[in-house]
Amino acid sequence: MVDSNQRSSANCDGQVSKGAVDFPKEIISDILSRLPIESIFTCKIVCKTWCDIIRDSYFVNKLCNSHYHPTRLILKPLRGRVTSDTSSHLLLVDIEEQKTRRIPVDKMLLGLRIMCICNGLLCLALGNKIDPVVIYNPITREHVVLPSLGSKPTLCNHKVGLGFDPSSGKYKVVQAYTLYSNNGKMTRFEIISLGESSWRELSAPQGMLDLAVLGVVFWNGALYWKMIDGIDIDIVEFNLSDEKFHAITFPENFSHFQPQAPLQLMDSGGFLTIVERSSGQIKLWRLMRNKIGEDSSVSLQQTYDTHVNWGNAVYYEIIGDSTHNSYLLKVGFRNSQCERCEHLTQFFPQKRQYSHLDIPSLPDRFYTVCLKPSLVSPIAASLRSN
Amino acid sequence: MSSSLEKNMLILRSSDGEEFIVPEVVAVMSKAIKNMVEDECASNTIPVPNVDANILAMVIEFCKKHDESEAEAASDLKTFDSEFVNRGQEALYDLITAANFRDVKELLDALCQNVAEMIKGKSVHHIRIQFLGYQLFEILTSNFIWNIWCDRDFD
Repeated sequence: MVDSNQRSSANCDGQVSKGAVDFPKEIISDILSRLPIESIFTCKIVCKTWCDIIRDSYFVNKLCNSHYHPTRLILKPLRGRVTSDTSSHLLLVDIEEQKTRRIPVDKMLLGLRIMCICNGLLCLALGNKIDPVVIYNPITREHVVLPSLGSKPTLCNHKVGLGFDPSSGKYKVVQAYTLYSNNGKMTRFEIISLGESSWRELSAPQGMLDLAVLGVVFWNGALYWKMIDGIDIDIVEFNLSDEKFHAITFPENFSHFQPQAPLQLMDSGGFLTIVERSSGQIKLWRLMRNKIGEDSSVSLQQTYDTHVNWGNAVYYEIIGDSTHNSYLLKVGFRNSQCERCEHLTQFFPQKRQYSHLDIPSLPDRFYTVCLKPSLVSPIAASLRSN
Repeated sequence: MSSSLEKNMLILRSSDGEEFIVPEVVAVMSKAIKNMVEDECASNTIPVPNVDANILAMVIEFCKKHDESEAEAASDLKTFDSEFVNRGQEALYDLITAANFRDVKELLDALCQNVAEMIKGKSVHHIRIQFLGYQLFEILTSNFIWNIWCDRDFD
């Protein structure tokens, strides 16, 4: 890097005759797609050529598929002690550089919960109301509101999944909700492709109708639904291209009964990983996608000792895996006034080490998700489908 | 790796007329040359227009190293790549043009990554000076216009 500094100081004297601007567009596009999102913001205002390249759909797709593109956290401050200042922002957090950047957000969007993430797009909705369902890109700050499903008076447990179907090239949204009627309660699923004008009801297997939905995660062409049946947790795969539910085969030593902390689903090293947390252990299960026509199966990948007895007063949640064999945790505790304080910590299982991340301007309480920032425009995606 | 004598050799001629004798396996790392060889439209000497002797020598050095070290540890090759591309800006640009024109994927990858590292974290002004060849005067004027814009925005 010393060398590049020397070069740049030489250039300030005006020795440059050629510029990168002379390159073919594909080359500039290739170079820019290797940059972190913050640098792409900067490059967008360098000159018109670069700006046009970054806006082009070729670049947007290239960025989605790029291996160089580092993940970021989107952090939503929760109302704790009155900090009105942070209430109209999301934060974009760079863990490596320990930097935060504010994203101003419309109040309406900030009132919604982040339900699912796919290609840098957030799916926002409410847990107890069917409307609105919004697809939002926090990087480009564009959003689309999906068509209304009409009023459903007694509804709860509303969860919405967003995914990309590579076979049709469309983004699809699936919502699940529990309806109460005279015959008891029933879970229903409805699907819409981005750009379509109405929802279609999905036929779910009989066994799924009495289960309540806990959450949903998108991974590699499918949505994974976390369902609860009384006390047992189950995971069901929904393939976005054939629009069908598939069961997952769990090994015998997998415990569906998780009294302490619900299972978490996350992408770890390119695999969908099920995180089982107990007070002194973390178990990571890996989902294997089998041949077409066969059910996906789960196998135990890793067991780590946490070396800390976690409980209700001091709790943690795994946000994602980061570099150097470590995991990113959200750690929280209650202070003497019984208020919750949360922060980010890196956990190195092999080194038996926790290291607190001192990131400036983090709120006291927050909700956070890990995502690969993208420039996918939800508006353009809706128009393309039409 | 078998002895280099057994390999077919090709002669590459740079734009300024210098000739390089290169094993075919190395030369065909350039997709453009590979296509020529496969279509049998290459005689013994292949002209490489737009690439001068200096740059062609560098490209050949890179390809040779990648050909030899297929079995070597990938990290060694990475170190070589990062040292190889760490050159003056002018040579870097000529190399990119050559790698793109001759379609040498590994080289283009390493070069683009290097330029990306140079851009990372830099300010807009810095990028304009370094990569667009802006002179100080242009920066000052564009800055001036930019400031007028910004003032308007915040009115």
